Amino acid sequence: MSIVSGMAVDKSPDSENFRLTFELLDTAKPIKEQGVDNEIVVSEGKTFFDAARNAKRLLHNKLYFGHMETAVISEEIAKSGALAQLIDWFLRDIEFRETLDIVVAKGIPAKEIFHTHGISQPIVAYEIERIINQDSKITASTVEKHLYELYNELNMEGICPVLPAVNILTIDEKKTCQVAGCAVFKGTRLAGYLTPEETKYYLYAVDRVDGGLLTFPAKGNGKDDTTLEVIESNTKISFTFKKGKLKFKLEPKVIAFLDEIAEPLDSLDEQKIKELTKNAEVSLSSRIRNVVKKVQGEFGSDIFGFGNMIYRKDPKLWKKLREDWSETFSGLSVEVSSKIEIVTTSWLEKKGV
Amino acid sequence: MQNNVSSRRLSSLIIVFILGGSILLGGLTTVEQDTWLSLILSWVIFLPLLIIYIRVVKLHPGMNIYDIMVTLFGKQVGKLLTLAMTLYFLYLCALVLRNFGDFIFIVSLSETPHVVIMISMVVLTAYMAKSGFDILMKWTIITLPVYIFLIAFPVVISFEKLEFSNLLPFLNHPFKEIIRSAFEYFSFPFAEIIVLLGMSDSFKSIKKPCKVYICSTFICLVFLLAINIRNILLLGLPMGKSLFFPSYVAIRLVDMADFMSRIEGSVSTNFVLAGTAKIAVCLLAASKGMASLFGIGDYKRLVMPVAMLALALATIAHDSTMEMFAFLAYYPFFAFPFQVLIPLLVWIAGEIRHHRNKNKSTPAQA
Amino acid sequence: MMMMLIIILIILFAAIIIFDFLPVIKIQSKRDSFIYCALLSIAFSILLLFTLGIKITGLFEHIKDFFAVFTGRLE
Repeated sequence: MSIVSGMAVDKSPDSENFRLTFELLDTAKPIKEQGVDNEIVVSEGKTFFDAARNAKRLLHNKLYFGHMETAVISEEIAKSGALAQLIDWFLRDIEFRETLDIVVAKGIPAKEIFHTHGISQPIVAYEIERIINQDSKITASTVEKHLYELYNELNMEGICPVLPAVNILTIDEKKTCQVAGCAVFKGTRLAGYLTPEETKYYLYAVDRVDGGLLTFPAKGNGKDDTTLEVIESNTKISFTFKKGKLKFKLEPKVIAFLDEIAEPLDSLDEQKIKELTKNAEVSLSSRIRNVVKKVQGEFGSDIFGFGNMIYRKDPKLWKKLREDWSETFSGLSVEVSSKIEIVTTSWLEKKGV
Repeated sequence: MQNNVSSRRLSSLIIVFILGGSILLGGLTTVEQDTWLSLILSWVIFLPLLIIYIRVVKLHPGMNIYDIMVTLFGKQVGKLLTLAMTLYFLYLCALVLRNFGDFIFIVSLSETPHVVIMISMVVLTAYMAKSGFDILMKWTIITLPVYIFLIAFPVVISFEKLEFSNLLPFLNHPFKEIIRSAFEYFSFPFAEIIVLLGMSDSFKSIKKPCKVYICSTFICLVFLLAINIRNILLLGLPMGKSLFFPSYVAIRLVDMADFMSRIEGSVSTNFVLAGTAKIAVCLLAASKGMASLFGIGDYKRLVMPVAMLALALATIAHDSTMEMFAFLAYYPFFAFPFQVLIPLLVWIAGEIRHHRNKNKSTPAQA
Repeated sequence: MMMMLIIILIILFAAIIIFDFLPVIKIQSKRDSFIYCALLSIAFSILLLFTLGIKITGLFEHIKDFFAVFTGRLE
């Protein structure tokens, strides 16, 4: 069998068919000497499964999907709503892992992704999966969405999914792929993108931050010149419904190290630390609020799961609101109030230089 | 000492028998996230019936249900009832066999015809049944720890992935639905314990049968709850509802560090271990019924043909896996006469006879 | 496929007869043997018909119709 590590889903440029690109683990070459290499195979078909089976027309072995970690879909597929059909195939067939990552290729045909070189390891699919998997702890710039989570979100009330987005970076003529924020969906169709920066604040809004950095201007305005390293973050999300008005409140609570600062700092100066903290809090709150506003205005898609939260906590209220939730969501007032606690300034007591 | 061993053996038999099929289905019923309540309610509804079963065994020690029925109702009616119960046990056997066949077919051996999978299972379980009740109980004692470990271990390592909010909204379903689901759980798996009455002549007397039965079934309830809730918390609702075998898929999501993943083999193993026990028990009960029906002394002679009959029934019982699952909704009604009505009849008749005998003896003393 | 299944079936029943039935045929009464054979034949015929593709209506349909009365009421 041919082991598939990743798959790219495109629409065929000259017909109504789907075109699938498979990244295979090349087990023919001696693994000990050269490491595992990858092979690319392309095939077309009327439906996804049809395309996958058609690959047998040019392969010695049948494709085996049990080790597939990543599926990349093109923007075209994402916009067309074919995502639902793809997921159906993935779930129905027992070979696919329910924990595989689904990723959107931003601005490029999905198959290009597998024509890149992995930097740390040759198998692109596994590299993408690793990057995304560890992202929430290190860069907090994208979301991770397993197949089964995606299915749940598409079928639950009051929530729209986001998927990680990847694009290609060219360094010295070598192409490699990088993770670039996330793709926002409305139902099963792509609505737009959030940049990695915006995605970070989105993550705070949905309480999915495990690490990463926060930068902000120490003086409260101007360029970001201070960096906090986030150790722990919890966001309390709550809502009130008074006099027919729905209001959501987000309260991120962050514990962080101070890791980089441009201005002189005496870290034992309580006043200074307090000021720094306050500026950080203001910066975080306003940026989160901006992202929420952008999503409300530009996409009108409840990727924060506010509707879902109402459904869980107050089903009766949700019954009333679900009809026009899209509109209600766009006009929702969301209040953000952050609390940051700087616990240490790492090694330096005062500023370095 | 003898009693201790017997009650432990009986316990493990009960636990393995009841958990057999249900573990796999891990079923989410129409009430979705409130299924846990249906489960608890079903056990509560089941308790009175359990006590009736225990009482019937106590009233007629050393006899199985066929003998009891013939004694109480005379040869004609007794044999008729025996036929009814035997057919039920036989059909139950076929259903469980079919469950297994389908599961293994879908999950592992998609290219092997159903019949062949079921043949392997039925031959094995027929051999187990032929070996007798004692051996069967010993088998369950050996497999029970394995079984429990294979249930508990995935629950423990999946702990960090559990999403407790998946249980919300709480109790959002109409109470009528919850009760209806409770009845589904009542007849499958709890009330199927009636099958044990088909071989109660092999039970060694146990000091406190009530305690043994109630504790064992309570343990089953706890396990079923654990599995059910774990499935909901891991999979989330839309997934949980759509899957045929939620337990199997739920385990697939779990991994420990980077080295232990894809432990879904444990679910299959569990299923096979318990399933063989369950089928063997049903075969035993059905064989005893057949033997009683035709007046054959040694039921072991009939195990093979009965096993083949079960196989035959299993192949024709459902046209497809979808049908098999659809049948679950009708099963409570289908099983009702055999799980409730006939045992009730037997119990009442038994009590009447018991009191009549008691009264007969006291005037003699006076 | 069908041929193979029929062969498997025949081997199975032959094995059962050889290993299970023949050893006891002398000990058993004629009546017992008769019942054994009868049950085995029923099973064999059902399985054979199934393998040949002749459909015996799944009991499901009958049970469903029969209990539709009750379920109709409870719905």
